[in-house]
Amino acid sequence: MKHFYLIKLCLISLMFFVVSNGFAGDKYCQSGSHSKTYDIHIFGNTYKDSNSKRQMAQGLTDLFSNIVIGDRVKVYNHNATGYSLSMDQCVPGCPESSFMENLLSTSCSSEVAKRDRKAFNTRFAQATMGEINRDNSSYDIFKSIQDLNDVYKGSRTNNVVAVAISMIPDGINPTDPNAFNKFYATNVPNLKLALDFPPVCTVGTSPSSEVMKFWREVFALQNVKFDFKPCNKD
Amino acid sequence: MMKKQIIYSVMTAFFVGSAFNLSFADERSSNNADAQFREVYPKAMAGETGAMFTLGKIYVEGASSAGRDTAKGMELIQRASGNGNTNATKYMIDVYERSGSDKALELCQKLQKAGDKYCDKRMETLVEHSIPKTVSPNSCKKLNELYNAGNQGTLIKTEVTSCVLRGYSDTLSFDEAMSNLRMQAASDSKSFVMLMSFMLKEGSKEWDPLFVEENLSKAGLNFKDREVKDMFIKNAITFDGCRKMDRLKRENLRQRPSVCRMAARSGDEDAALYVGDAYLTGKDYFPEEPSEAALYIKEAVHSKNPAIAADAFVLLMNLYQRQGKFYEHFALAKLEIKGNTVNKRTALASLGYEAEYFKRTHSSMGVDDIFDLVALCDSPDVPQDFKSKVGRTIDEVIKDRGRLMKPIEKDSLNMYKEKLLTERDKAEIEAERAERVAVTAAQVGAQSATQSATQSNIQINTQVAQEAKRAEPKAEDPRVADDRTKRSEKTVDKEPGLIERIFFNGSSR
Repeated sequence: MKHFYLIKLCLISLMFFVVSNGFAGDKYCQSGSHSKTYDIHIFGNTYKDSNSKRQMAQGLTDLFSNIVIGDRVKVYNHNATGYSLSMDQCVPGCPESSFMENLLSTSCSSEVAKRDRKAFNTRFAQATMGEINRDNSSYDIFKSIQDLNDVYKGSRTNNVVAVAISMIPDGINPTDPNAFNKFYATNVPNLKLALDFPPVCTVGTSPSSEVMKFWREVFALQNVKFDFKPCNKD
Repeated sequence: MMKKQIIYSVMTAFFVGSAFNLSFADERSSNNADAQFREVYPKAMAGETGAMFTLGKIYVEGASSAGRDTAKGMELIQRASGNGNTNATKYMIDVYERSGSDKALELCQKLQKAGDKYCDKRMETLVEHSIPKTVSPNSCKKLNELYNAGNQGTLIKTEVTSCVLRGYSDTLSFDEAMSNLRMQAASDSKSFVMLMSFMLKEGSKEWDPLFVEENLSKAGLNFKDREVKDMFIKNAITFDGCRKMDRLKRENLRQRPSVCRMAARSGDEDAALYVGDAYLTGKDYFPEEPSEAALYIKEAVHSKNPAIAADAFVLLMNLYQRQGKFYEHFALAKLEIKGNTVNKRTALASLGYEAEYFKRTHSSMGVDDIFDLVALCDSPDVPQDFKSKVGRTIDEVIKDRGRLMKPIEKDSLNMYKEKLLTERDKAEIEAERAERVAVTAAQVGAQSATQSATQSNIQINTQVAQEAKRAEPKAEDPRVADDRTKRSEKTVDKEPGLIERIFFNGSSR
């Protein structure tokens, strides 16, 4: 009987350890109405040249700067075969309070929070940018967008949905209108997009007017609402 | 060497340049098509007909990167046309016209109703392609619509005329339609056939077989054309029809021979035989014209019906006789006799003509022809009276030609003469000759007597007699003088008493 209690205690300790390391943010998550949940979808393989990768990194940095302590961050990495949730964590940090409150409080240690924040930053960088230089495979831009749709499958969410996607079809020069015309003629007539996802903002999307024009036409044709609102411009 | 290199370089540069230009031009055209595709695609999907038509054409032509998709393209163009796009309709008309579809006419009618003149020039051709071969109330209805819409070209007019005459339409009056038909029939065989159905129908107002006979060939038809023959049978233009027509009826005087002739010319052998006979003999208000008769008799002679062929053969032999065509007559008779055909008896019976002709005109006949004739007469089937006649003429030929003949020919003829003549013939010939000699001698004697009386010198009678003897051979044919002289001499030698009696008694027979 004594052994049984010992084993039980060990298991509970192990579970606590795992939870405290895997979901380190949990203790930083705030249930209040001020905190937000960010769904960040990374389509790393849609960025082929260094310029666009830099744009993406800049966009993510801008987005990251908007995230505050207690916000939950979920990073989805998409590739040709599907997607995976690479990060789900709340931003570490102790809520602002008076000195006395800090002394009395035992739940948040600013030192620990600082350390956790550092780890969080590293993890975020790895989760968002880790694959970008490794995955140089070809992609189908329409399938990528459809994949985003499949994450939500028509369900409603109040999360901030940020999508890091170039929106440039594979192999197309974003400044060449003929290339877009050809791509349009080849792909659009057979395209069947069934999109129904919550409002999204974009990160690192190509600023080329040809790209914008192309997608506006495609989405209009497919009757899809997608306004390309950049995440850092509220 | 250097020069060659330069030429090669220039040529290479030219070819590379041309290839580049071509591929560049292709790319440019494809780029344009892609841009156009992108521009019109969303509009077409939104139902804009102009865009639908343009997109459809891009698909049909395969000009864009979307590739060729004829089915999709045509569907779009058809939809555009269906939704009232005129250009798409014109495009579809062209397509249907090329494929020979009736829909081209349908669409053209639509355009015409809308006041478009696109189809005006091609309407005739479209109608020609789309109207059914057999006239029906439905097709007539369609044609009436076209005619009333202002399409009054030759073809539609012809068809509407046909509809009116068949009672499927009242767009024109019957007389107007009939007048149209007469005009059309002058150059259109189909119309002529239709006209025939009125003109050959006995009792109808338009009945005029003679007109049909005179104009059928002008309309490009032949009496033996199937449709013509069918029409003839339907309207009793047969020997039976000809036979039953009253030949004395006033209106039939010219029409009846026409009916008979048409029946004959369409292949009715009984009719051919009858018409041939009628022309040969000039009966039943047919003029006596052997040359016309020949046409029909020759037709009947080749009949597979032995009775008709045999009758026609008789007519043909008669025809040749009438025409004085000895050689044709003889050739035909020889053919039948030697071939031992069913006409052999007729041919043998008709050899009298040859015998008579030979007798009359042997002097102008070639030796070969003479031998041909006598050889044929040597046949055992030839009646003896013809043989005798020919044999007698052979005697004349020998006498006539005398030394002009080669001895071998003369011998041959003598041999034939011997074979052809009977003993009785020979005796008769001999008697005739003797009589002829006697007559001649008597004539000469009479002449001498007259001379003696004039000169009143009866004493020189002996001298005159001697002169008469010398003059005797000259009285016969001079060309065979030698023979005759000898023969006369022989004759004189044989019957001296008779000559003396004639001369000295001074009396004729």
